Amino acid sequence: MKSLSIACESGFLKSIAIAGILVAAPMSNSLAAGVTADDIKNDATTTGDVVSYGMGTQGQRWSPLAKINDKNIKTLAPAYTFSFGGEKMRGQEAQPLVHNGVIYVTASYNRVFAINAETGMQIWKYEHRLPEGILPCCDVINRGGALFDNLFIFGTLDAELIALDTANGKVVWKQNLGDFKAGHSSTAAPIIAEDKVIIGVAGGEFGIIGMLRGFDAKTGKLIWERPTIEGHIGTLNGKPNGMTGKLNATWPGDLWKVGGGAPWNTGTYDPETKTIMWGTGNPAPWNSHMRPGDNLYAISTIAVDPDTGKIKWHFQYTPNEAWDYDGTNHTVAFNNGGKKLAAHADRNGFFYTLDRTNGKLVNAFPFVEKHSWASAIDLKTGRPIETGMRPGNPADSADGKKGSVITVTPSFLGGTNWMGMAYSQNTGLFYVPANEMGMDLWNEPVTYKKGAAYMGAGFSIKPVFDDYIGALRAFDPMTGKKVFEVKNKAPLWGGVMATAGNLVFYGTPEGYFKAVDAKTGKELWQYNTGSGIVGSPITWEQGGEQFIAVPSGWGAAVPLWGGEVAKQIEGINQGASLVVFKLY
Amino acid sequence: MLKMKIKCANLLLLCGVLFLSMQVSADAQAETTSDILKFAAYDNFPPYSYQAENGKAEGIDVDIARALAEELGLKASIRLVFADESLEDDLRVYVWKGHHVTGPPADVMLHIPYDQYLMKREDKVNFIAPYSEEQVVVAADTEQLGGNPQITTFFTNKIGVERVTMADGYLLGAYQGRIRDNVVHYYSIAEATQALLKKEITAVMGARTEIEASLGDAKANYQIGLMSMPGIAKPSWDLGVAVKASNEKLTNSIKTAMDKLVENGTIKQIFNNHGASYHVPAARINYQ
Repeated sequence: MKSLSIACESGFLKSIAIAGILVAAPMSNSLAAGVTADDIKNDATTTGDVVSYGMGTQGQRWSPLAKINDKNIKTLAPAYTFSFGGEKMRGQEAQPLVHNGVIYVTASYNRVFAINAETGMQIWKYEHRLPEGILPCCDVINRGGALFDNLFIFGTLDAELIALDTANGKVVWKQNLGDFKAGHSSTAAPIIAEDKVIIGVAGGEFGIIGMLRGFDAKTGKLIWERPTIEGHIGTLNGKPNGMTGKLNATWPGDLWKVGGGAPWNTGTYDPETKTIMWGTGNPAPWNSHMRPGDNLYAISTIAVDPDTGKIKWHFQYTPNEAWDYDGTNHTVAFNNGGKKLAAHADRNGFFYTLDRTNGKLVNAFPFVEKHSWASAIDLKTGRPIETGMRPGNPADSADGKKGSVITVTPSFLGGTNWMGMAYSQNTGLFYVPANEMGMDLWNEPVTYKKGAAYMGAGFSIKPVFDDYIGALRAFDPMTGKKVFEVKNKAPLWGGVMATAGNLVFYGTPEGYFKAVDAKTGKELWQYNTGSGIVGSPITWEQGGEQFIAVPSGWGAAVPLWGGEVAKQIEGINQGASLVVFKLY
Repeated sequence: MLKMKIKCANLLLLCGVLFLSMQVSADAQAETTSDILKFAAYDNFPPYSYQAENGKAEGIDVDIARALAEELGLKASIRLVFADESLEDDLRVYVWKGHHVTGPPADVMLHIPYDQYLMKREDKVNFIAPYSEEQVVVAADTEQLGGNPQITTFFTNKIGVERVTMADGYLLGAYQGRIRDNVVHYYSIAEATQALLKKEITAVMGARTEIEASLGDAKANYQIGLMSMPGIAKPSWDLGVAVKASNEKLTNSIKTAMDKLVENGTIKQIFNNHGASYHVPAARINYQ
């Protein structure tokens, strides 16, 4: 009975989708060409579309468009609002894409929508059927997809990589990224590097081994796999392709076999050096005392060859990591003074400027006020100068009592998290969505997992300051100078965008989509979208006008983990929509 | 275009009819659900609870659920669920709150530790009806290790564990890490005992019930028992069930039913049927 009713519902929807395609057909057919590898490489400079995550594969979230600018922003207003609909609200963390007048955007519960970019009318909808009993760790979110040729490619909560036909939303190919029952999952947007689609996998908390994969974007054929933890062997065209790192160089015993390092966020691709830069998650098990050593390549950026999946260089942010400071934040390519550089604002609270030809550290400085676990980064070695705030070893205190409490900043939610910062090619500044939170940590005498005793830790998150948690901060990546900050009461959890209109755009959990002056941080415009913003904005040009789109819909990790922070986000209502703006 | 619209309209009509009939059948079902007791048990967890090849739930906890339901004159509906990162998560999702993807909670969850410390921390559920004691034991291959292995034997011999268990945490930290390099990690006890049978390792440390059942008839060839483990945080714990705190009536009837099943030997028999020895929960010994 139930299955019949579902079949009926989708049949009904499908017929709407077909009807919609007939309407949209003249437009998409007249510009029928699919997205090429060159379109993707040039995405950051072509203003008529956004065909890659990060608005350009280097991940700068920068647009040279200036039709909307600091002079006329006052008249920016919604052109339309598109509802993702149904009862399925929750966190909308996506970055939309737009090509040939069609917006492609993912929504919570692994839905994908194609929308007429001019009118806001739905063209088609794809609803992924999640398997029964699946338990996503951090809400039912998805961060976006990749376009290649006539395909829209995205990952699912049950660890599939799916390519849809951009014309009708039908599945063209599917690939498995792991066993969701063992904790594998996918929430991040894949990227295109040359003719390959690259994606990682989530699930480090279940002890899976991080794996980055390159597939033929057209056919979905697996080309290479690169495990992120030393000792594991990669593959190329189904054959062994060398070990990651050197066996037991930085891991004791056989712990590398179950070592974590999930590359669960999106990476970037730098066509100038032909290098993928991808962040890796924390090592397992959680207790750092059990795995003495640096534990490579957890908590690192790995620079990977897009053709072979070989690691060219790496940079590790938090050696022998102990605080859940995943190193998965984006590593953004930019050039300065003739140098090819990369920037990375890490969960651990420090901003790193690297030479992206070799991974050598150029500069590092804190982007949060409070970073009690380390006082600074040693610029010679690239290693943190730890302060001794490492959580204690539960093996030292098996006396049946709660261990002593230490308070550490940043919290495990990070100085920043999954969301992308932006870089302005005009100001030379990075705009970082930062959060000031700390955590109490203690060893529990006993915790239980799957009905069995285990030595675990307890934690509680709390704000650091009374008046704010979130702050949009502008930094000079060369000097570390903080040029401005804009405080926000609730934590910032969405992506940032900079434009040549001297504007920086970002959203807040309170629901506001805001624009500030890129040089001074002065707030110039805001609009309340009706629910919290945890997605990433984009901008493009169409019919001579500049458009800006941002998903709105509160959810994701903060409300799940909030602790005392929850007080700052009480009363934020759920929502699920894409809001599109233009000048009036 | 016109044709399409007609089709849509037809479908809408059809949907309406189906929806109505679905409502009716759902109501009918609601009347009959009152004689069904909904249990949650961990998936992929032999010999306690797992999906057998025929697709049905099987195992010690599944048999206990059926026996409890029978005692109460109800039918058991058993849902095998994924273990989340911690017990607190499982209690929230499967016992007192539910989850926006997996749906409403069960009435009773099996295999929940019966522990005073836990009871103090979690006020949303009742921890009741202890039915067995789980112990951390070592199964040692005395052919390889000789007659009297100790924990220190593993300074120089390979010992297998399931990752992220008490045994794993203990061995990695014990004796200032002197055993660490000899700890071999597996994703399950079944994988570890397979390696033991092949003599790839000399011992397995972990939950007694899992080790005994996975060794099957071969367990006679191994020395299985408690060892002196200086500094271990928790060498044994009781297993019971969890019921939502507000559900007092169910709490009381489950308690009474479990008391009977433990006292009349049903629980012991269930453990033995699955190839495991039975150990009376410490909580029951203490009140006797």
